[in-house]
Amino acid sequence: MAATRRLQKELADIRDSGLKSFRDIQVDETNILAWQGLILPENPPYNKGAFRIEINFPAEYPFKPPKINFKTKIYHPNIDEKGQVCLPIISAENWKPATKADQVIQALIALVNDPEPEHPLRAELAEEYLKDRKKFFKNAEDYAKKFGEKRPSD
Amino acid sequence: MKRDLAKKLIERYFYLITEGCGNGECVNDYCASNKRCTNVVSANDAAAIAIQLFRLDARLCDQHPLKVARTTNNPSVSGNTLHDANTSLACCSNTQDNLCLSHDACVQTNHSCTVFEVIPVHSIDLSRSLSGAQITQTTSTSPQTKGGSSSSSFKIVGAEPTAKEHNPFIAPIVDSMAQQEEDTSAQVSKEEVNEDVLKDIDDHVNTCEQNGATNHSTNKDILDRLDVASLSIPDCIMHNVEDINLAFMETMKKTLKHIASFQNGIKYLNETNLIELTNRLKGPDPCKDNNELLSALYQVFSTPEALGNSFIKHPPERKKDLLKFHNRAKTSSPSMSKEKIREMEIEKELDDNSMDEDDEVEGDEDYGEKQLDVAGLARAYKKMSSLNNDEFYKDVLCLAISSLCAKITVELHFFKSKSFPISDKYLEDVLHSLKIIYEMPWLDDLAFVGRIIPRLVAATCVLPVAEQAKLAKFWSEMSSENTLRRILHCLQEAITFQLISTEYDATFQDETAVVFATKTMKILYYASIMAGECDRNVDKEDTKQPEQMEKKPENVRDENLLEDILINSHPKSKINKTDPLADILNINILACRAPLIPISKFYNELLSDALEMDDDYQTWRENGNEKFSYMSHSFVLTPATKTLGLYYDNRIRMYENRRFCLIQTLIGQPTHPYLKLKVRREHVVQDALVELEMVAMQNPSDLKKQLAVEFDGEQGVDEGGVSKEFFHLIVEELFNPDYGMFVIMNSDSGNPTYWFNSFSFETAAQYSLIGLIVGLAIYNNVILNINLPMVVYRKLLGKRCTFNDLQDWNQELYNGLKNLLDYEEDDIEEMFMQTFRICYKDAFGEIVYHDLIDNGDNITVNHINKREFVDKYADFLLNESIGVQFNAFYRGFQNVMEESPLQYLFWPEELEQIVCGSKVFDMSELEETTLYEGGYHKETQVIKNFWDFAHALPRVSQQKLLQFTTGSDRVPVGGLGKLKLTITRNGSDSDRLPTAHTCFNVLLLPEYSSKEKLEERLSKAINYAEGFGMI
Repeated sequence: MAATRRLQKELADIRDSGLKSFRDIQVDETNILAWQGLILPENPPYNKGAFRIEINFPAEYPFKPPKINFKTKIYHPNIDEKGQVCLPIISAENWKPATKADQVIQALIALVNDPEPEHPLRAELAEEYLKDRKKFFKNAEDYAKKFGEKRPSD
Repeated sequence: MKRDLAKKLIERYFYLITEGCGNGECVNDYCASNKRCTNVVSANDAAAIAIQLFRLDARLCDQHPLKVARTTNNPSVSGNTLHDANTSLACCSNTQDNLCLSHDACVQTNHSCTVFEVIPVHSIDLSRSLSGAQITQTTSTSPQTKGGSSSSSFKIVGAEPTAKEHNPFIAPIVDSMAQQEEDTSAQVSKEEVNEDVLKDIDDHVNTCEQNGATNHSTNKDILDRLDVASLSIPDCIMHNVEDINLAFMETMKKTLKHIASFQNGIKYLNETNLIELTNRLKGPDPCKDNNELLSALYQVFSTPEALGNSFIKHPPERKKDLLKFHNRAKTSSPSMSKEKIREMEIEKELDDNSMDEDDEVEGDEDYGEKQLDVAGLARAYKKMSSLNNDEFYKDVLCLAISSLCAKITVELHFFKSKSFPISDKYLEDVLHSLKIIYEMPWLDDLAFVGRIIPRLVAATCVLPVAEQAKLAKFWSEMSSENTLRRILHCLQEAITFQLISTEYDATFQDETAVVFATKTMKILYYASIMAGECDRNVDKEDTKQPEQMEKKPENVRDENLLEDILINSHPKSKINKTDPLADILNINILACRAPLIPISKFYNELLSDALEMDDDYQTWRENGNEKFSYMSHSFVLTPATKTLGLYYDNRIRMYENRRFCLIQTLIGQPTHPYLKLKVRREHVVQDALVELEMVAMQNPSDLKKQLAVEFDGEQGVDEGGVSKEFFHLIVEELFNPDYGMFVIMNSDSGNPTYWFNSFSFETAAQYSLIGLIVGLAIYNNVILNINLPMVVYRKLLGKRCTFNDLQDWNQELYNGLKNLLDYEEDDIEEMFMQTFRICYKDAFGEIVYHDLIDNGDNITVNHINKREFVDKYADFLLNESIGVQFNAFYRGFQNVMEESPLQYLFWPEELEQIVCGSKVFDMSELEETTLYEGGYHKETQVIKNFWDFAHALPRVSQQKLLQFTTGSDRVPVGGLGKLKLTITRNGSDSDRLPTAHTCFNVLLLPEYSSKEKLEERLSKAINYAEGFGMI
């Protein structure tokens, strides 16, 4: 399993490191290229829920970047309704094969924790975030409670 | 008047060739009196040569005494071009009285002060050349010693072996010096000399003044100016005699100081001495200094030997400098008695004793490989441009170069035709001279383009191919891109100029200036290719393929009928159409990814439009590369014109086939003149496959007939429309991913393309069919709606694709692998953990592993083998994995195109253009499908402003806008409408720049308050956007 050798190592590393904000990693035994996991943001308003994401690695990994999708609905200026996220570190133009999956996950969590309204995918949320932070927080929290998964207690 | 003059001159040339000048010691190569000239020419040949000589402004012996005793005594000494010009001037005076009056003085003293040169416009038509003849005036330089002591321009290189052995330059110079001394001592008293020189200097003052005042512009209105000159000169002489006298004596003394040590007088310029000369111009005696510079410039730039020694890299600078001084001294000294020289010699030795030390080394300089001092030359040119009267110097250069080029042309041309040996040394000089001239930064001045370029390109074209190759190499390695672009620009201008200025002539394969310019452009074209980005060791796509495959069919014969037949019908083309220059340079266009200068810069639209492609095609078809045709120089033609060439090729072959059919019909074996296909609309692919298989089996050449398609049960008669429909249907079906022959690649990026499905269940015959279809589409001038990656076109033109081609195929993967190559850290093995086993997904999303080398899984990629890994990876993806499919596709294509000039005419990019048509860049299509978010809608003012702006942009900027918003400037299959652009509101009016998510084709546009602001912000964004990042 040549191309996946690195993936397997990365997976093992991530599991070993016991990340608090990314856990419950599930990988299909037959297809190591598709990962699922829960992210647990620390900052409000997202600290009220857990969000399931899916990371899809291409067969050519690490020469091609992975793709990330949110399975859980989230009220966030940088993540659209379909769960797509535009993360520069894994864009085709910026991708470096030396980048590890765990760096990608860290970048994603950072983005969730601190939205970047300057560069929104959902402009109306960005505007709300900038103009009426309170309202935005409330909406986001409601969303997280409604759609988000339970945060593991430990 | 001019006609008479020309006629007289030609007559004189004629008699020169047939009868000679009567002087037994004549050294003129064309003169029958010349002892070395043993050729007996017929009257007709002589006439032809005479015209040629006239055009080239060659030397003419002085048959008629021109009031000058010395000249008649020693016609043999007249080796100098200035003198030549003088002679022709004298001829002019025979017919044009006004000239005669004013310039008697010059002619008499034989100190050419004012040079008139007849520059005929190159053209076959003599009368045209007469009317176009320009008499150019310029001031000459320092007083000339008549003997051409400066240089021997018409020295026959091959004919003077002994003199050459020692030093090619010394012998003639010494000769002429001796001659001169004799002359001066015998006939001319000191006073006379002084008087002559005085007049000379006066003339210089005059002409310089005149130049300052009126001659800054180009010298086109010559006749007028001649009048002016003839009127003003005598007056001024009278006026200035007194003042000049004293000053003159002073300068004479100064210059003569240097005269003694010039025996070793090789002339050349280099950066140091040229700048030195220009600096001296600011001295108190500008006229005198002017003369020095001018004389140096003229003399060096008018003889290949002198120019060939100029600006050589790593010269012992000081020596050259020194010599330069001596030379200058020599040239500026008029005829002077030997005694006088001796006197001065002593003074001189006292003066610069110290400088003389290293004088002797010069002679045995190593001529092995001459290197042009490009940087120094550039600085020297720059210095010259910064002079006050730079136009004036350029005129002098112009004159010098044009006579230089004429010399080169006539010498090389005639010696070649008479199979004289041309010495390597001479060729080297010529080549070096041309390099220097082509480097000139003001080469593209209008005056130069008109006057110099035609001669320059003529001289370039008479160079043997090996020398042209050297020139190309020099350009590709040494010259800057700017220089090449400038030269190209000049050549284009020259062609255009020539086309506009001459009457329209359908067969300008013979329009020499245009042809020469085109040929020179070829050299430049190759230089540009060599200097461009190239792949390393590119193999041609295995030409052995057919043979390889021939063994195979045995086992698959039954199912792959079409396959089989196509393989066996593979005749070879007859005429060798490779270019000798390309062979020498080992040019492989396929290996070139991007030439230094984009290919589109080489297109000359005017030429392309004016060219009668059918004539040209015929020339090409019949003669290959032996005779000039634009088809063999297709880089100068626009793709549209080239397509026309292809079209004629196709049509001619079609008609040939048809004619053959007619004969067959007459003798009772009727066949159809068209390639007739009858298909059912619902089963286009199957029917076409069966029919084409039948045709290929029965008579493969039928494939080259014009296509006529008939749909079953429909009444449309195929005049083009029906076959278009047929192509459309069949392509749509075959390329449909559901059909399984092709997969869509890069589907999530902006530019999805088709790629061969390496796991296809379809037989190779199906792929052959597609190849046939693509070939037939080109053949029948139908544009197909397919989007294949550039790799396919490269492969179709015969290239075996390499790692670099991965870039067109899958940018993402290319970047990743490039990163691997660029990775420098030591932990490459741990970081990538990559082995020689690669992994990819097949068309059904299953993961497939492949070992690039045996036991690949156990071999880790490290710094040593990473290049190998990448090359193997690319080779696997681009060649190996789709080998079966592509080979079948290729054979189908070749079956239709094999004899066509496709490979000679087109670059892969251009091939794509003929297959797919130029991608229509329709912004309104984009506008219609654009979605709006965040409060924007179609009618929002800022959106309206945006589209107004976007539509008004030039095409290039529209592409940039597209690049900015979607990350790709290419039009996807189906047009811009398929892009699904989204424009999202990004806050209210602010100074922020627009941003974009190329992932989802989203443009984030703040609601700018005014149209101006929108335009300003947006242009800034699209023009300066490069790279990505979070803000």
